[in-house]
Amino acid sequence: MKDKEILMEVKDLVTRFYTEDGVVKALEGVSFNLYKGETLALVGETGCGKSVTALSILRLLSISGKTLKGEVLFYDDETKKRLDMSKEGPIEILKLEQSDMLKVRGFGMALITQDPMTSLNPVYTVGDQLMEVIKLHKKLSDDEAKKIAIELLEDVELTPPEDIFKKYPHQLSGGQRQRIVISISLAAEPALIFADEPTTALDVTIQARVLELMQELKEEFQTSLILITHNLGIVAETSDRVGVMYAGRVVEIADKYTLFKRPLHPYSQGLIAAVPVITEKREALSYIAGTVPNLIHPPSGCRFHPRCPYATEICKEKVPELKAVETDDHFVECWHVDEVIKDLDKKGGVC
Amino acid sequence: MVGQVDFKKLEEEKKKLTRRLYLQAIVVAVVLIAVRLLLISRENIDAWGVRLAIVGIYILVWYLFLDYVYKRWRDINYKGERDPINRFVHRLYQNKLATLGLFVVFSVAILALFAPEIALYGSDYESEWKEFALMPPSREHPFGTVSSGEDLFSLICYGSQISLMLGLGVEVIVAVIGIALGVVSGYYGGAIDKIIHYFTDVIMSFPFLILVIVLVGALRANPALNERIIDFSKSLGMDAHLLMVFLALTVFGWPGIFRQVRGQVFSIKERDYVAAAKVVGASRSSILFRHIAINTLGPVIVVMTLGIAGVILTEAGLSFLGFGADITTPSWGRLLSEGNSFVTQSKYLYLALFPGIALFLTILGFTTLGDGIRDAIDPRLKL
Amino acid sequence: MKKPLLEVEGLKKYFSFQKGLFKRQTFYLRAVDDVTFSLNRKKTLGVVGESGCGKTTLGKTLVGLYKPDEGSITLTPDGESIDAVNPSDEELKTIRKTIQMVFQDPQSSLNPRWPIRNIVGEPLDILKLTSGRKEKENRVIELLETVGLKPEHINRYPHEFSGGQRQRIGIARAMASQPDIIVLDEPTSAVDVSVQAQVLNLLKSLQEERNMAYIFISHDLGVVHHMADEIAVQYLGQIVEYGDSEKVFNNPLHPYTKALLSALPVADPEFVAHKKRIILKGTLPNAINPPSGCRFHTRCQELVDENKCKSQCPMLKEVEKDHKVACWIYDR
Repeated sequence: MKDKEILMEVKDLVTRFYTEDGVVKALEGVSFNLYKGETLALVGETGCGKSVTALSILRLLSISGKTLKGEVLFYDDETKKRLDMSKEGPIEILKLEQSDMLKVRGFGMALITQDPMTSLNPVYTVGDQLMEVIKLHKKLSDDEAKKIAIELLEDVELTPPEDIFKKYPHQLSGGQRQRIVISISLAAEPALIFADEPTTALDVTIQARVLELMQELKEEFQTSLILITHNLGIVAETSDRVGVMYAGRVVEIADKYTLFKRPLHPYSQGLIAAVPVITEKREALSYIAGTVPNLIHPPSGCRFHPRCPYATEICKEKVPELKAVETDDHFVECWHVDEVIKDLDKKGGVC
Repeated sequence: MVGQVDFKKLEEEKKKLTRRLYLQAIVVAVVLIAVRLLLISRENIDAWGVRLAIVGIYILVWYLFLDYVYKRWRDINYKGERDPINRFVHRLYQNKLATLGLFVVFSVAILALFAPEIALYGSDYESEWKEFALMPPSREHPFGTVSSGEDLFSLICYGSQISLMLGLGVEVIVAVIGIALGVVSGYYGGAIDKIIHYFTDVIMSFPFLILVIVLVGALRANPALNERIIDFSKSLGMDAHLLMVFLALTVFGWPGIFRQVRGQVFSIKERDYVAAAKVVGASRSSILFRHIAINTLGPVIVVMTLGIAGVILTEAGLSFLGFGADITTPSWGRLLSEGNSFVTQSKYLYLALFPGIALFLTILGFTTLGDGIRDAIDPRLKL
Repeated sequence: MKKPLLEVEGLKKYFSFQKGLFKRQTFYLRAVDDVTFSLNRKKTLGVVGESGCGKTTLGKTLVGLYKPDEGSITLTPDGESIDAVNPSDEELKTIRKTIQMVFQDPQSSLNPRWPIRNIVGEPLDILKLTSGRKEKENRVIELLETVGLKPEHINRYPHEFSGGQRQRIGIARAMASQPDIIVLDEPTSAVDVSVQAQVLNLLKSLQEERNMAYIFISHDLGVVHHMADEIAVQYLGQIVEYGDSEKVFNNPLHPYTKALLSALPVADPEFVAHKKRIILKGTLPNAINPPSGCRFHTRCQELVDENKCKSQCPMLKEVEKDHKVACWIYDR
């Protein structure tokens, strides 16, 4: 029985990129909660801002990106101890100094990216890189750290661990490298891991194993996971709750069963209807008309309105707010959610 | 969709307007060129000040004309903001140093095109000038005169023609050779590549300067051959030894472009559009040149621009050493060498100063422009 | 019985490497190893497998980018059969009008320096399908409209289009020669979900209208399930299971197919909760030196006869109508 203890609150994140083509309004008020021990999937298509959200929270934006507004409240006691914060209440991530942020990254929050080759240093052995993190986390001797490293390698099923320990990244396969990255991120025992498309570069069979592994380790280490992906299949397999993102906002959040069975935002509906599933044969895939909006000149009001069959005047003028609908943990932002519900009930479910 | 616009008609309209624009542009261009060839010359306009003003106005007219044509063309064929040419130009202009380089290169080009008009004195030597040898800068001779009595300013003007002609001539030929060999070598790989590459390495390993010095020296030691070469080059309107330099630079100058192109071809030939052309049945030569070579041009332009700087520098160096242009050719390097003999006497400093500045500015201009083009083509490569 | 549009028998394509101190030893990468199948009009054959299984090489060999080392490819677009492995020049022209290809990466499948009119018009020029500029232009516009683009796009350049639009241009180019067969190599892997849906719908409607056959290569089983009538599962160059799509998906026989299907993430949480998990041990063996006997034996969970599986390579055998499998479990 999972008790819903909150780990992080993200409120109204606004991030912009200042490029030679103009100002890219990547995040326009992203809000969601994360509970301890859960896997939250952030789903969306290219450009929706899911990766930018992770980078904004970790404060790893490139030099042309700035988080202008918003709050990130992090309720992790371990991290608070590390930062020597005795105050009551959560850590306000966006207000931390860069030097404090260094202590948060890796130990409070970790990041796994899509391409393991860019997160692993090619000139150090895998074992060295693991030990580096372990020793930074706890003051241990080399021998003790090595023992923990070997254990971690066993956990991610890299056998024989002593051999793998001495290898360089280029000597390993993609799947193995990704597991190393996972083990490094776990080495510091963070409270939260961001996984940005961790398996996109891997084969299907390896992907399945890596995802399963991540779930098992998450249970064992009591870590929360924010899984960023565009693949609805992975979402269905590994997440507990799902947040659907579109053009810089979270448009719907629900637990995964509810989202797939009863999506209430028109975009979520369109997305789910467009994915071919093995469980049913369809003649044609329904798709969402139009294209992903230009983030330099985004549409006014609700950014989905140009493609939405329910759009009216108010949708062009005002951005809807994330509100609880039907249950107290199903949130949708849409002015016409009642109409959507009506139509859905008429059809009796999705599709 | 908002209203039914007949796109086919729109395209027809656009094409008609563009064609009309081209026609107008050609007519005006022909008229302008005729004006240049027939009216604007030293013979027709005596006073230097007036001549200079007319040249200035003429250039202004060309600039306005080209600007108008370009803007009209853009109006008719609106391409949107993400056009790579637009962005390239934008990035280039943002680079202040490169823009300066562009300005310098442009100025030298104008100087070369209008050398007879901008110069104070004609290019034919007149024996009376001997009286005015080695005079310091004055109103009649803004840069002074050299030991033969010729006006240094005019010599510098004519010298620009030498530098640019040599630079462009060598680089264009070298580019053609380099691209052709690079594409063939990169595409076929295997034995062909090994042979061409080996051959190129041999060429590259030649000590170039020494070779030219030996060549020219050997030629001078053999009067009969020398005579024949001089006659041949006179028929081309070129200085014999300068011709040697030109040939040597051409023969040894292409490895740089060859390597650049060859490297690019290795990755381009794997791309899907090349495979698509093969599947459709495109001929080998069509694939090599219309698909592959055309995509190597960007970086090649950079190498060429820097190459022009190198050619100018090398020619100047050789002429300075006495192995290039002879006394009849106003090469900047040769002028520099003459000034060099007088450099210890401060009153003759101008003899070395002005050719030196000309060389310095021109080479620097081409180099910064080349760097700027490289950065503007692909900012990710910035170091 | 009418001859099938495409017949492939015993197709083999090897790549040789020289290794060793003095380049004495030659190794062979068996990218396509003894592939046999046939294809009829209005049908789609899905070729699935993971990276390194040889499906892309298979696709490229079928359209002539590689010359097969062994085996035959026979095309019968209208009555007369053509040998596609050693065609005469005339036959080569017909082949190019019969089979074409759509590529995976929208970024690199179109020449960035060519305007769309030239990209789509190139096959028209080479195969002399139109005469004169006007006719060619009209045909290009027609093709663009067929894939949902507009006439004014002919003068534009690839960078002015989105990934999905570029894939459509690639499809228009493939259709220029009015082929009977199109090989599609991961045509939607590089685009977003909703764009993928549009492209797949387009492909399906084109197939209906034009009576075409598709060879759809993909690692995404969900997409293949949607598109294909027949499916071939490829592992290390060999087809391990081949048959009617419904039959293979509902009743997978080969252990690899079973593992592949169980590994596939399905966008249906209820289904997923009850899915049986088969996790393959080990990783894909090196294709240059594949395992002896049945190539899958190193990772197989259901070895029926260890000696046999390790030493003898099973052949494709029909287990039920329209369903063949190469596995010793079904071949005693």
